[in-house]
Amino acid sequence: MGKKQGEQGAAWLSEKMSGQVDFEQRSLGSSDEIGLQYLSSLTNSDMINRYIVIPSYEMESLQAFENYIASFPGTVQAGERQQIIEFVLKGFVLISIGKSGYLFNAVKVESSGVGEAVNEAIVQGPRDAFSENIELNINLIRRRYQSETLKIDMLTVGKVSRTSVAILYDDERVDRQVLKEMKKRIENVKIDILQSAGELEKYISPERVRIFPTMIVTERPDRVVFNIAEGKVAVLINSNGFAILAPSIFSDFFTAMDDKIQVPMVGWFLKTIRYIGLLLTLTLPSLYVTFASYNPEILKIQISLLIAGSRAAVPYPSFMEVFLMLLMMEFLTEASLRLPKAIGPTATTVGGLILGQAATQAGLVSNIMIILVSAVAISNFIIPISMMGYTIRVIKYIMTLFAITFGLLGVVGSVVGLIMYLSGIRSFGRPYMKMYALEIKSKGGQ
Amino acid sequence: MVSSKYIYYLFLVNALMNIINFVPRVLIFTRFQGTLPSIFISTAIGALLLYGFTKGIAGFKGQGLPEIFNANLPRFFSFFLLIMYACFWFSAGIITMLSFVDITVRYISPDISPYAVIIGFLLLSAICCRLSSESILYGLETILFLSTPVIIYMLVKAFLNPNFSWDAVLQIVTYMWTKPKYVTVAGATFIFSGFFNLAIFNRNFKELKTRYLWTIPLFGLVILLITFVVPIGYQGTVGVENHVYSWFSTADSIRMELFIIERVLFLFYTIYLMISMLSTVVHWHVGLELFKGAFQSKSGKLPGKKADWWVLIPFSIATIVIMNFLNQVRLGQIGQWFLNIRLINEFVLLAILFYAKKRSAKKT
Amino acid sequence: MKKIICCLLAIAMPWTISGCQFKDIDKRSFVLAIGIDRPEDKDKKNQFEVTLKMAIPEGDPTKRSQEPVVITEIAESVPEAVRLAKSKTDKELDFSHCKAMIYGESLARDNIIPLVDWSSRRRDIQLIMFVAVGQPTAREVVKMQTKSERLPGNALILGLGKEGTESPYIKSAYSFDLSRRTTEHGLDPFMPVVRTKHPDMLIIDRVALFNKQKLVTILSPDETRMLNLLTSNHLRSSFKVDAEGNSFDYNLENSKAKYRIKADKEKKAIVEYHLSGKASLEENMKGTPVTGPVLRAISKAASEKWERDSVKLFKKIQASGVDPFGWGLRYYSRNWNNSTERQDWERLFPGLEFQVKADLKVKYTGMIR
Repeated sequence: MGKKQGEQGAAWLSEKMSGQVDFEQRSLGSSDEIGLQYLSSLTNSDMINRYIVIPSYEMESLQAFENYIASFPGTVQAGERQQIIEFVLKGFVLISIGKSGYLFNAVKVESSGVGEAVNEAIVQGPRDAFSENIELNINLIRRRYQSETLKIDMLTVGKVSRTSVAILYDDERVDRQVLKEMKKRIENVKIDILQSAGELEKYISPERVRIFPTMIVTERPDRVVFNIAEGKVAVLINSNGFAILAPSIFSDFFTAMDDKIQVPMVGWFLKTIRYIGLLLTLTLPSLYVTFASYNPEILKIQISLLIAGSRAAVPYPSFMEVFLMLLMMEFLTEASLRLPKAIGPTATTVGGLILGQAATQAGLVSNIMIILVSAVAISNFIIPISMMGYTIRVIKYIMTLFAITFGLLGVVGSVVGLIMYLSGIRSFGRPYMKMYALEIKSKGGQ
Repeated sequence: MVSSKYIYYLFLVNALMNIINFVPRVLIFTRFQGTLPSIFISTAIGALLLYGFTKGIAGFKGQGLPEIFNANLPRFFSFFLLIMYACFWFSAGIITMLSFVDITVRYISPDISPYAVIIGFLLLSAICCRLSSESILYGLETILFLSTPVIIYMLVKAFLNPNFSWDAVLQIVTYMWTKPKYVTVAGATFIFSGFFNLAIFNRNFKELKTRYLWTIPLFGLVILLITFVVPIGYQGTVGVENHVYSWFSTADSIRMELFIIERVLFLFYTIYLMISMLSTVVHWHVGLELFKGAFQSKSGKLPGKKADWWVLIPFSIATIVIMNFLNQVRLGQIGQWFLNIRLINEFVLLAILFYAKKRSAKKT
Repeated sequence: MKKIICCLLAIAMPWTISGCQFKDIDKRSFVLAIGIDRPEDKDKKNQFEVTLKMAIPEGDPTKRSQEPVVITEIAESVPEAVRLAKSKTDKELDFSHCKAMIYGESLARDNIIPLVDWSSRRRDIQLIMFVAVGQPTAREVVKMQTKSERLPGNALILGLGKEGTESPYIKSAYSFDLSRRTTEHGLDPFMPVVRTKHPDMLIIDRVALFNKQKLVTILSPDETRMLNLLTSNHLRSSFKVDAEGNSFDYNLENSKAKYRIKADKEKKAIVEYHLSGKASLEENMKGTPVTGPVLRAISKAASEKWERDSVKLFKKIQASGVDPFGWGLRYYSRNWNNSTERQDWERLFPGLEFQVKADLKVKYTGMIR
């Protein structure tokens, strides 16, 4: 094997790659009997020089050079055409010596280094985040999960981008059904370009109207390791510093990595706080509409009069007020997100302080509304995984709509509807929301 | 497949839901003429039905009523029975819904048209009852988990209140040796009929583990006594009859001094709204599955998901039509009729089930 | 996509039906207290004079500018009067926060039943509303604006309830309790009496006893306190007692009242009360040192005083023929002969005898001996 294919491969490759700007072909040796073919953007030219070009002129015979090349770890004999092109696209150099071909590993590691987790910040505990390089990322996980049961399956997705995708799982603990399903779904992805984990998540999710994420996209290796140990499947993507975790259920989105580090009581407390925050951010706007427009009798008289008093100058109905302020808050969040770091704080000041203050003084919005909107925003930010945070942001509006239509009935009805909806979702066959899910999971993992 | 604890939730949701309208009404109506003995008798009857039904259906592992009937009874007969029971379950849901619409309009939103309220209810029930049985069980668990602590809080609050008159309660207890009435027994056994939802949900249980089944009559008795006694403690032995929704009046008589909501009524309303929505969803789900089961083909294939709407839309329209010609008094009568027929019907169902069991035993 | 459109349509549909029955909180005026009288005008003796005290939401809630609005209307019935009052305000009347209903004395002496019916029939009037009798008229009481109140009617509400002052002279009554007592056999209604004292004071220190329909008698402040002691646990109050040729004031810290009814087959029934309490000394008139024996003597004298006072109260109540304690209900609840018990009790009631055993312990001498 190898010899003939190497020669044919070289010709085929040069034909295939003829249009590429960064495709380089070199001939070495006294009578050009050595051919090099590689993509200059992916390869380390220094390595090529030092380990291939210079020795090729110093070697006494062609045979000696061939042996020399073959002796490198990471060098493979060229085989199928498909294999050759894949390797070259990864940054290997195809060396054809006479009739035989070798693939020499000269991958240029554009290592951006291991950075700190930005999106899922943490107080204590490991700070590493995934880098943009899959090898490094696998390296990060391997380092934390030193078990021979950790299996890695490599796939390639994207007709054009040819992104390598790694599926990581613990061979002993993994749910086979989920693994099979995941592989099937990834193989079925038919796209040209794949650049980020979020994209892949979208493509492998079942197609239907969906608002809740059923897979976590995370940048924290420790979360991935923790989840793999729970029997989940992790998917890493080259050139993107995020991993997909599946199956993920509702409570997973409310787990921060801090919870493990804290004293158990504190961990529980933090978890409870998050659910309270969830409840508040979902129901406060709709309850405000209910209390202000349908059922002022529910609250104590003091509070009712407080709301009524602060609303006295406001010229439009309560739901307009709620929508107006909620939208302003969304704009503010979005604006400060996209703005350059230098201007970001300005936006917050202008929006939060000046607008809020002025709006109440002008009598456009009630004081209580401002407090409420900030409470809604803050309790929304408590949710540790931002994907869920976004979802909750949307759901809140739907609930407010129901409150406008039905009052208290609408609020309670939408809470019931939401719980039923969540109970109906499955993430890779696992119920999305279920009480005591964690307990069952740990049993099932063994 | 789910664990056996979900059976108890099915019981609990029904037992809690009954408090809103008909059961306390009939219990209180006959309070001087045999409610207490009826409660004890109906606990016994309920336990009997419960035990019989679980024993009966446990023989058919993972099968719902449609599968059992279609396999073991003559085709025409099973079709007829399934349609009848489907209508029965649907009407259980409809009655809960109509009661709650009435309550909502009366207590919470007199400004909103009852049609808007009923449409809201119907939307929710119709959409949610199409979920898989398993999902409904999960939802049931979550909502019960959220609401039972509040219910317990309210009950504790009710009993510790110095305005709760134990003398009135004891006065009613002295009417113990009166003759029980059928209406009261029929009303009180309704507490236990949550179990009959197993007719469909049995599909989801690998096997019915009934180790703690004995707790259910016990719980049922306690819930019945609470249902009966608390309104009397607050509204008096005579005055209690004046209140249309005695439990809502009772909730309104309790005050939370140290909370942002002062009237327990609204807490009570919120929690019971959740529970009755849930109970409607469960009833409609069972009704829907029974209906579809009636049209099961010979090969055991059920009609597809799209067919659901052909059942749900007519029933929704029927609900609106029924609401149109009902007033408070008629609704009460219909509710009572429903309870009366229900008890007989449950015995019939039990008998058929055992007949089917015998047939299937003969086959194998 | 189709699904989303369907969902949106489904949400929009009830919206069109429900329309805009949207009434914002600032468009409502909350009635906080109602007073109902018989009009003074002789020709309108059978009509009702309804006084509503309302809070109108105003600009800054933190400032003390909540001037109440008081509307008085006379009409044939209460709902009619409310309807008339509606046309006098620019905002929708909202009764859902009404926390106090005052029955004018003239009305209370006539008939309270229609009003009890009205207030428990209306869906928006709370059953945990406080009820009281107003002297001289309900209008005066409702109109009274005390200095300390920030919220209109709050002084009345706090006074009648227990969150604010905890006076032993106030026996608060809720609406549901009133309505229950008007129907219950063997249990009669009572209400605290609110008097006005000009210029800006409300005094609540008496209790009015009703038969099922109307006011029968009003108890004096001391009797009211005794009633309170006999009907509730944990009463806090100070009493005065003479012992050892000295006069002492003690502060009751804890109290408990129990009773049972001993009835024999004949015509006699005995109500046996057992009172117990713990107290500490508050004032010693002559300043002589208080020793153990003195404390015991005080306890004994105080217990005896309680016994005397309570029996006196019982006799008075018995003579007026009402039963605010619910002795009748207690008798019924302990007897199983349901068909005859009511006649029995009616026969027994006029001849009831009372035995009170008080067991008050003055345990502490305070900070000094």
